[in-house]
Amino acid sequence: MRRANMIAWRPAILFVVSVLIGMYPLGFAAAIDDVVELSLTGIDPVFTGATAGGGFEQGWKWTFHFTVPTSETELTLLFSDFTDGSNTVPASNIRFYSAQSSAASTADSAITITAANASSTAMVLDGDASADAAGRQVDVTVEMQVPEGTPGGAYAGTYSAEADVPPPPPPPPDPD
Amino acid sequence: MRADYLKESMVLRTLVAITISLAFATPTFASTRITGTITGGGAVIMQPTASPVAGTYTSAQSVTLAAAGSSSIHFTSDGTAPSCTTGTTYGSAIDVGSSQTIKALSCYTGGGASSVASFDYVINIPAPEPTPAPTPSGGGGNGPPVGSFGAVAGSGGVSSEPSVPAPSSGGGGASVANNSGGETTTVAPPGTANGTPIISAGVGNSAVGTSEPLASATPAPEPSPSPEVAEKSTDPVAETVALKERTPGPAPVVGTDDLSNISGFDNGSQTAAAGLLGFNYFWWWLLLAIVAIGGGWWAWRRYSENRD
Repeated sequence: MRRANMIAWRPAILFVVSVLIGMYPLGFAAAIDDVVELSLTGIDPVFTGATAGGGFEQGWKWTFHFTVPTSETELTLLFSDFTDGSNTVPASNIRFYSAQSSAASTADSAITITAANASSTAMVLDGDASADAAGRQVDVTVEMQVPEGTPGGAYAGTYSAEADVPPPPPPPPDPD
Repeated sequence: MRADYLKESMVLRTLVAITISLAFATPTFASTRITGTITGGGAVIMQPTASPVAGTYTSAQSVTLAAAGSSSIHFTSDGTAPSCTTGTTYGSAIDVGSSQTIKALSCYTGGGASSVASFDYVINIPAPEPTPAPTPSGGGGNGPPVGSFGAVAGSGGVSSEPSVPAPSSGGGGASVANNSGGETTTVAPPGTANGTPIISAGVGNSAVGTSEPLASATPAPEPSPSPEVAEKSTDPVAETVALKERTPGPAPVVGTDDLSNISGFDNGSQTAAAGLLGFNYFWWWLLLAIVAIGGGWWAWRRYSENRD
């Protein structure tokens, strides 16, 4: 009787053990090689004192450190206008680039923010700043110039970042 | 037969389990968006501002510097121009007790800096109203205790500059003013050694004190207009004699550092107590005599009544 009960429960036990065994390597692989979602690990201020009218060379400069799922190779940013409470620096003075994007790796090929709170052109990611870390490590340089005549003071703004999988390639044209 | 069934069942269920586990374990790479705020990292370079603004004031000022968004502010008060690596890093309000120029600039992360701003402060503290000297109490005879405090107001040590002769005056003539400049009449009482200004507080009177000039360079007050006091203070011999005659207790040492060491107040309170015990001792004897006589009379009366 007792042996019969064990035989009856054996499939269920085996099922559970199989599920655990099946999940383990996949979950482990995900932890090592990839991440589930986009995250910002930090913002390093590079140049915080801007001179009004000094262009990007004398503007603000930060480095954003992103961790991006490897399957998401498109990164878009959007920014609000920067304000000190009474004065505004428009977001259209912002540009960004990254060494992990061959298409926008330098200031000359930077992507420009066109308007406040408007998503930028997607930055295509094809590099990894740290292959040892999970996911794709992307360092984005963000620069903002301050227009001539902007009063002195401390300004602040908001950012938003989004990572996406690339859209599927368009279907081949019908030969007919 | 049954064994074969069980074996097939186990294989089947294992496959199902692996399929399900794959479905659950595979990461779902959905599009994600993160948002945040960039604060404290963007400033338009500006010179530091000072509060209160530079100008002329009639009292010492506590000056604060500010430059929104700067990582630090450097300043000097010796006339030299500061930089982000020289000068004093601003941390708290700057005490401006005398006329001076503060030069400051704001520094930013990454090497940016403002130009140097200059703030000129002129501290011009008006001379205090002359304090009328109290009438001397007569050299410590029977003057009320208040008289000893009055001498403090007439002392020359309070709020005087060393270079200005301070009036050495006292309410009862037993005051000594020690001034580091040596310009004030200084009486060396008996027991003074090595030039240490030991002041014997006269009974009922004391007005002793020296002080560093006030931070705001306060002009010295006019000497007390009391001619009697001035006359007394210019006669060292008489002063010494008076001190010798009326010094009942240990001599306090006059401080020369700051206002807290001006000894007039402390000595005044000491001499006030001495006045109670010394000058009015007669009344204590009189009261004791009255009590003794009254008690004797009452005792004699009770004795007489009992005897009758």
